[in-house]
Amino acid sequence: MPEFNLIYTALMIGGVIAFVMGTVAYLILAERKVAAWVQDRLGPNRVGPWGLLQPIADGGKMFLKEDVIPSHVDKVFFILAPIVAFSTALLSIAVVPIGPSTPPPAPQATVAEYEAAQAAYQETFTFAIQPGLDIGILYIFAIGSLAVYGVILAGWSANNKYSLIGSMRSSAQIISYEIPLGMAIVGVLLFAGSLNLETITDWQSQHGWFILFQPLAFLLFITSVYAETNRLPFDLPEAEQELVGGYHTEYSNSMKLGLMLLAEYAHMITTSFLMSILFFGGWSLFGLENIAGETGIGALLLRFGILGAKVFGFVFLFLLVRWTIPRFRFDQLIGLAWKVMIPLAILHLLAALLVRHFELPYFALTALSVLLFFIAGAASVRTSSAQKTRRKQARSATREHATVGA
Amino acid sequence: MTFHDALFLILATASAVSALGVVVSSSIIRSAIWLLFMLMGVSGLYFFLGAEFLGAAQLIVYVGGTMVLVVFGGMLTTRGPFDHVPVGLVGWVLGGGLSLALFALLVQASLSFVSHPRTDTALPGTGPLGLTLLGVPETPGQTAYLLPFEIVSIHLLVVLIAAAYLARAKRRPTSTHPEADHG
Amino acid sequence: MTTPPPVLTPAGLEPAFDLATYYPMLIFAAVILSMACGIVAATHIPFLKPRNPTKTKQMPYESGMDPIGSARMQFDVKFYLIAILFLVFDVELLFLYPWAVSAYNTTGGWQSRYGDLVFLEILAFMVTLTLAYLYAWRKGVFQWR
Repeated sequence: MPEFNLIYTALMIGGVIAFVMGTVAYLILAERKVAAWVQDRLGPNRVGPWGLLQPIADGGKMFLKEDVIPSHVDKVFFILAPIVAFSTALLSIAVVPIGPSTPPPAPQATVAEYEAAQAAYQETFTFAIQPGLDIGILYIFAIGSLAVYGVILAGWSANNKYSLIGSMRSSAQIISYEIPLGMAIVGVLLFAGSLNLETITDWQSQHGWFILFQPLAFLLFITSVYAETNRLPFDLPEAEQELVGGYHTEYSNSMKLGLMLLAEYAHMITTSFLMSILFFGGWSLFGLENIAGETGIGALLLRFGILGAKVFGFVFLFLLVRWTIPRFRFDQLIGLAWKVMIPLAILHLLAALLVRHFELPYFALTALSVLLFFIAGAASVRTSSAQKTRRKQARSATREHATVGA
Repeated sequence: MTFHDALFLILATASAVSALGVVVSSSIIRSAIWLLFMLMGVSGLYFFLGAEFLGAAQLIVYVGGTMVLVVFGGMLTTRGPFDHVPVGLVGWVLGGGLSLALFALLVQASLSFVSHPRTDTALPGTGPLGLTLLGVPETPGQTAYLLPFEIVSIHLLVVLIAAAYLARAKRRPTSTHPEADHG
Repeated sequence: MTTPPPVLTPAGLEPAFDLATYYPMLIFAAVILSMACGIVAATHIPFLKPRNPTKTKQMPYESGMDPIGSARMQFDVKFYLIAILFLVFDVELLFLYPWAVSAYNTTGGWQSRYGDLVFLEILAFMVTLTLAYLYAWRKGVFQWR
């Protein structure tokens, strides 16, 4: 990465913001189109061909509609909440390499080697706003842990029962799933040896994708991500049927609501990037990324294409899952986090530690991962069937009681 | 004034103003939100000093964890007499006097340093920090933090046991607000 | 500008801290914050949109009913419990990150002398935590109701 350069940085920032905003705008359209496709409808098709101008119409509408701030709200926090939600959602993309990347050099033994490595690093370029940050993914988690305040502030300031219940549920859910989210990647760190996303990508391009070695970690990660982004099957905070709009019930259809929605979709994009980079090798594709040469414009475009395909694959998965899996109940949701995912994450971490310490082949971890998954599955089937019989017994007992009473 | 000074000034002022906000506001939730901004400012100062890991840890543990606890705690009590805590004149005088004295002490202590801590040399990154935490000395013979690391795990055990007691308390049938149960 | 002078850590020579590496992030943060504030300010432009507050519009929304009681109600202690549990595991995670990053990946000759010690240490750390977790489970901390 070259020295700090205002022009490069400005271009990167402009590019990233334009990309995220554009994707978010069309994601909302895509969501409606996918919903229509799943339910055998047509979806939005009035504004422009295939409804392609719909996002512009929606945005314009949000700017022109009346902005109602009800008299019972806490005005300062009511206005602050969308700002917090939006900025935390967008800030976390700063360390994500959105294209080809080069890892910062590892520590060197001698000064000469150090200077050579640094000089070589200066020649490279990484498509991230803040490349080479040592704490990389930890920064994303830190910003992500701020995101809960957008929800808390919105829910508390609105002074509305639906909002408050939605925000309490949402914050409990977000903090519960942050633990398995963080624990799932410790296995990745143990192998890649860095929190930096460029280094993790580089490790995978040399040794193979993490999904191959740690499928269980990926499963835990993607589940937590769905909960963190409040997507179905974990969208209890804004379960329309019981809570109207959840924590944004009191936001009228103006740009404040728009910012909240933008934040949600921006979060989806960032996490899709994270999943592609952490578990699916970023821009690497088993050597196929070098078909158009190692350097040059062809290789650059190819790598952008590979990463983009993975990211949009995950985004599409988000949209499909919404119409496939029904919503959880709240006690199930909390139970899933604390009773299933965290023990699994701890066991997975132990497995990764053993494999790494005794220098077993990496695929031993795949086997352990799959084994753990099936053990967990068997255990959950046993407990749920035991619960079912217990419930049945209780029911028959009450029935007998009723007959005796009669 | 260099850019660094300006940045420091912004961060420090933001933290100080938020700290004042914690004290001045009479609503518990408002105080908590001010405290949140104060902690964010402090984490910014850590980043500013090059302690990236510490800054991120501050954000994750204090802002993301402890403050959620405080806000939840505030919401637990919010219907009671603690929604607004008016402070009388005696409280202002007593509290203000005490905090002024403490402030003077801190200023005196920070001015009495002969040399300011250097900021141009590196603080260790995440990797070296891990080694030091685990008892690997930087150079042979140097102290490292093996024992504290294990004590932390015991400490966490103690907190979980305390949580178990809270859970036991929660199952007692003393629910005074059945409508407030939003499970 | 030349490369920053290196600093010796147990892993080897690493670049010293330089605030200039954060400039892109600072600029990004400033841009994002001003964007958010700008958009929110734009919702308050008076002549762009109608403004017609009525008494019903100002009421809390409760699906068409008149609101019953205050919305600021007391919450169950179990939310508080979740926050405590989160804090415990969060702190534990933060201790695991530096270890995971450095334990098997840094160069330097420390592994031969301390490698097994570090392994046992982290094993003890995780076993303590697992015991705590099992105890909490037995005591019904994770039971939501």
